[in-house]
Amino acid sequence: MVDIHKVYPDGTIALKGVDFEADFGEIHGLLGENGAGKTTLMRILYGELQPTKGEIYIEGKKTRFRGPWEALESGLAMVHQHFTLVESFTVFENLMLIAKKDETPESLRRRVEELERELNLPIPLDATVEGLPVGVQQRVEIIKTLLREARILILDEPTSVLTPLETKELFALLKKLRDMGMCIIFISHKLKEVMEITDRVTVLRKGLKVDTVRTEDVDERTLATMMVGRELAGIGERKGTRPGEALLKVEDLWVLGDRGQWAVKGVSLEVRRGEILGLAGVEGNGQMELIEAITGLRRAHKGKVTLRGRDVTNASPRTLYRLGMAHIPSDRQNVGLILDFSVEENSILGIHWDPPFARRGVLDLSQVRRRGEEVVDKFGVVAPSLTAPVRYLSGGNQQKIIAGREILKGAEVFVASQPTRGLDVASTEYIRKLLLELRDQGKAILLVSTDLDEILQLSDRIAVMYEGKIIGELERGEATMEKLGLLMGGVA
Amino acid sequence: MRKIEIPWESFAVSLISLLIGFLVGGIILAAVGVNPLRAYAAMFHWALRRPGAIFQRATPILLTALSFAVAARANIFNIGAEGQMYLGALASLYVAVKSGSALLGALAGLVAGMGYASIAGFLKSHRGVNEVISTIMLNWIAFFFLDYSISRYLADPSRPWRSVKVPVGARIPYVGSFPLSFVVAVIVSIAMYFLLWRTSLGYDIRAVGLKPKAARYGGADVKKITLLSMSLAGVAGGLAGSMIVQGQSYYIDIPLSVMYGMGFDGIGVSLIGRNHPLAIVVSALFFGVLMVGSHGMQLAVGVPREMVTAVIGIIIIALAMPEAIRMIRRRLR
Repeated sequence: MVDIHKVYPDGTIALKGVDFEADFGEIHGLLGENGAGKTTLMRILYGELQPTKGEIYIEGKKTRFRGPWEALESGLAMVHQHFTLVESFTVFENLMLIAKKDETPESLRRRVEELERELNLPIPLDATVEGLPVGVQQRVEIIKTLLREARILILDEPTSVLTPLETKELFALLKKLRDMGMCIIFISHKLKEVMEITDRVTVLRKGLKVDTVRTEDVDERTLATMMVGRELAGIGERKGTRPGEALLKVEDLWVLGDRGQWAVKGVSLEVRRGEILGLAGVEGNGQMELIEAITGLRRAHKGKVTLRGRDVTNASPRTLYRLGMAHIPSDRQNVGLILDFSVEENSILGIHWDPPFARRGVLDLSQVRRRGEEVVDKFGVVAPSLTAPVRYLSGGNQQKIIAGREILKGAEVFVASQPTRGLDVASTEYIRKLLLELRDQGKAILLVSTDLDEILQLSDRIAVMYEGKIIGELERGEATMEKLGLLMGGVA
Repeated sequence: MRKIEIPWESFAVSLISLLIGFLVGGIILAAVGVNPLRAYAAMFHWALRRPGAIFQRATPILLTALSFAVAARANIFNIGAEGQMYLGALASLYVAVKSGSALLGALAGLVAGMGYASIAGFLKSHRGVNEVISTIMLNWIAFFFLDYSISRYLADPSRPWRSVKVPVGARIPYVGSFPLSFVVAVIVSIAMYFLLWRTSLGYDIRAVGLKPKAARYGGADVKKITLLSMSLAGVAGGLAGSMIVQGQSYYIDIPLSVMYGMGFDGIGVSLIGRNHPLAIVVSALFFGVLMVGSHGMQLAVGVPREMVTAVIGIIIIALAMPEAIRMIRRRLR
């Protein structure tokens, strides 16, 4: 792939001229943080996305796939993080879906059994997919690509859903496939795994290629620096505050993820008055589930959450708000706001049962209007009118409404999740300034972000989450990019 | 007090839909050799000389439309107004006959409709059963339940094809030709409007309908709200039955022809009114004009009844289309 550029229709620049090359008979790692462009690059190769600029050569031949179907015909396949299996079908029925035109079930079964023997890979052909462990489902996905006679296989974060044992089995299979001459591209952010399995690694950072190196020539430290290494963006002077008592305490919390796996595995943390605790980590390491459990949106199965000295484990969001919690959720369009509600209606989401906005369940519209005005005036929201649906506001203004609403609640504990994701520079700075002001006022703030600059700029302490656990905690002074990079890659 | 903002754009869309409806209907009339202008003129002429009849036709439809509208605000596709209306009618009839009280009769209809709708509501909120399927099935259960209970227990011995009549004291009276039951329906509309837009509960209902995740973040118990919205819809659906039995027919006949289909008509009327309780008052009256006027059209230009029904159907569909498309789109998203 030569000089690949990608600009998304919304103006996001994902790739700024990346060269990428992988050989047959190798496992090639593609390493980078969230938003580095790994998945975008591979989806372009696979034909799911069209590059804005750039050329693709396969075996020396210039190619451009109009869609994945053309890629599959040319022997290129991709296994996504989310599988594409029909859950209520058996494994064999799923395989039948991709059978060749004139293939009978019998001949397909023979082909599958041949593969099983060759790879020494047992597959429960007649079991229903939904009952199978994730690792086996993934194996079925890989078998699917082999039945299509793929010679180039792209795996997107294949180990993120696997147990350690399943990971080991997957690696054994991948090595076997490599030795058979296949080209395997392994997208990951986990340093250890990249070190263990790949022959070469290409590191991407913010849409640019850092370098391609032979894995045996580097160590985790070098890779970590390559992955995150950059100058720290302006840490302003900050008032030293002496943190007070812990307002939010989480003890040994266990939470299940959407797919029934343990997403949070015994997390403990404390957020004190007058400090910002930054929770860093690559996306998908359990931060979302942790925050949802703390804020009452997801059940915690074990452990304890204490808010201002009160046990609030699995309390409802409304109870939490009344006890002084505010939550700025990461998904502002689907969780933090109701897009078809007006600006003023959104200004009271979560407090719409409480005085002065409601009395005995009847809304006081003049109070609602007043709060809407307050949010708009104090936080510089640009909106056509208070009755305009927030759908028509920019992302920055939407986020200001959420932040304003939560701050005006007068809460003591703030949970802010990805508060500046997707915002323009000015709005980002504004939101960050607000969080620092809250800290100076003696609030306790738990900040979750996958953006290391943000974490480093705002946090007094930094905890790093990896695979559902807090893998390390650093004081502001001792945090360096290298240390954080290693922790985020799972190296404690 | 805030001034209610008038959505001019919706009016414009409705007006265009209305013209399309009349146009297509007119083409069909012309195709069978009838002058469409004469036919439409006859329709309006006939209807507007009978305002009492318009209000009477509009009353039950307004209530079944409300049933659809309230549920729709919680993103529930309630096809069950028909069944809620049946049970409301039966309960009202029974209680009105036994107690002789208009108020108790109407209350019984309200409670019956609410309870019946809650079945579908519970199945959806707590068991994830699709409400379209469950309400359609419940409609048939209600239909045959009425069929049975009326012929078995409430039949008028002298006219066994229908039930005994609601005693005069338990009827909802008329002032001249104007039915007071229409006033009841309008009060329910205003109450539903107030509930949806001026209370915290209404806020939750609309929030759940638009974005359940955000509603949950805002503290709503999504299951409870879903169930509650359906129960509220049932209140209106049940009252539709009460108003028919206590305010119009005074009895229920065996194939339920005094009300059959009015629950379904309500869906169209609600869609025409953009599922807004106050706008539905207007669309129900318009529906009343069409229904009453259809007799005039039949008489004046001599087209068969089926033809007239088809033309009215086309007008209703054209008017309901914009909101129907919007609802379908939202559900597919």
